Amino acid sequence: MPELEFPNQLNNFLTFCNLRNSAIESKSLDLQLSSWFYPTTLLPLGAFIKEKREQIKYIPPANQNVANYLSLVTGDLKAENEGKTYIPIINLPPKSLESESGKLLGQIFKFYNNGKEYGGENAFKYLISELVDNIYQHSEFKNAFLMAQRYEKKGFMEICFFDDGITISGSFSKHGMVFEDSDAILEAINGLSTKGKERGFGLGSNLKVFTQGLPGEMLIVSGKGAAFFKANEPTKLYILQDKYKLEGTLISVRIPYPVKEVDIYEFI
Amino acid sequence: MNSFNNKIIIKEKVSENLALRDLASSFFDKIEKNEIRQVIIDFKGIKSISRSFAQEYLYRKANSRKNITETNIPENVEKMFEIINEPEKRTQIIDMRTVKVICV
Repeated sequence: MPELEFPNQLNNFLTFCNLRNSAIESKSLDLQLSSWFYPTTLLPLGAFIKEKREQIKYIPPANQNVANYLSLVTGDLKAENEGKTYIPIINLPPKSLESESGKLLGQIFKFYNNGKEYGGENAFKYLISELVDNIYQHSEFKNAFLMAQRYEKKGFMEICFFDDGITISGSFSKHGMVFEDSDAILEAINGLSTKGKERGFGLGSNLKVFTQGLPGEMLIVSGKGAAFFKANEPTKLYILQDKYKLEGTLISVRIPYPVKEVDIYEFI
Repeated sequence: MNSFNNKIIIKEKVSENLALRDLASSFFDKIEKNEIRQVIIDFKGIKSISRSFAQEYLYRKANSRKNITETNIPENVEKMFEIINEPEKRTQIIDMRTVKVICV
């Protein structure tokens, strides 16, 4: 029987799970042999390190370049980093300080030239605004983060959003709508909202912009469910074992780079 | 927000990027506290607007007892407002019958 081939973003998420599980078991996060991290691994891993800092020993990568990269992306957003290929892991302000997010989003947009090479200003800002707004509206997070990395030779940018909140199915179930984790992702994409029928457009419209308007890819992981979307391919829905469960929600988007402007109003 | 001036430059009160729903809500909370009945929202310098912000803005405007109008609305903001005001055209994005389910 041929081995199932998973999309890269899902493999990168599973890499995070394996590192996390091994660290919990051994009380040591050993990255000595690690040589490469995509945001889909690194963002939840950074959140995990932050949460378990006191309980787990951290052994950095032996490769100095990789170790330096990890230090950079887990550092602060600094003005002098503008125009660099990455946005470091950024903590979103808590819900009580949401008004500060406006300034933070402005900085992020500026870092990537307002998204002009990532489908245009409207598309890039729409993606980040709606996904961050979803986190504030639905997730009830304690911690929420985003990060991005541009890969010029590979021709894409990967941007990830992670929150440690109640998951998509958890948000539905609080309002009496009970779904399995994986089904809840599809319901959210199709526009089901806990807040009325005029709401619930953010996730699905972004999916359309970035997989139909642009040849991008999107992975959503929430609880024990995951879904992968790519233009002209059937949606893949994953039911995850306990060992791959995520406490929260992770969204990873690969945007081709550089890519021409897309008219988002055709898709939203 | 100056209670003697009925023109409010939204960029100065929120941001040049109108991103988050709750920011639209708190913007309107401040307008509602203002005693002026006629309010002009000036969109000069606005670079982007999310659907969530636009939806909340129009919802709060429709439910306000003040007479609120806009000026200097950029094309992208205008388009977003039009989309929100269109009759609902929600379509199913994922056809559940074509979804491939895989256990990992």
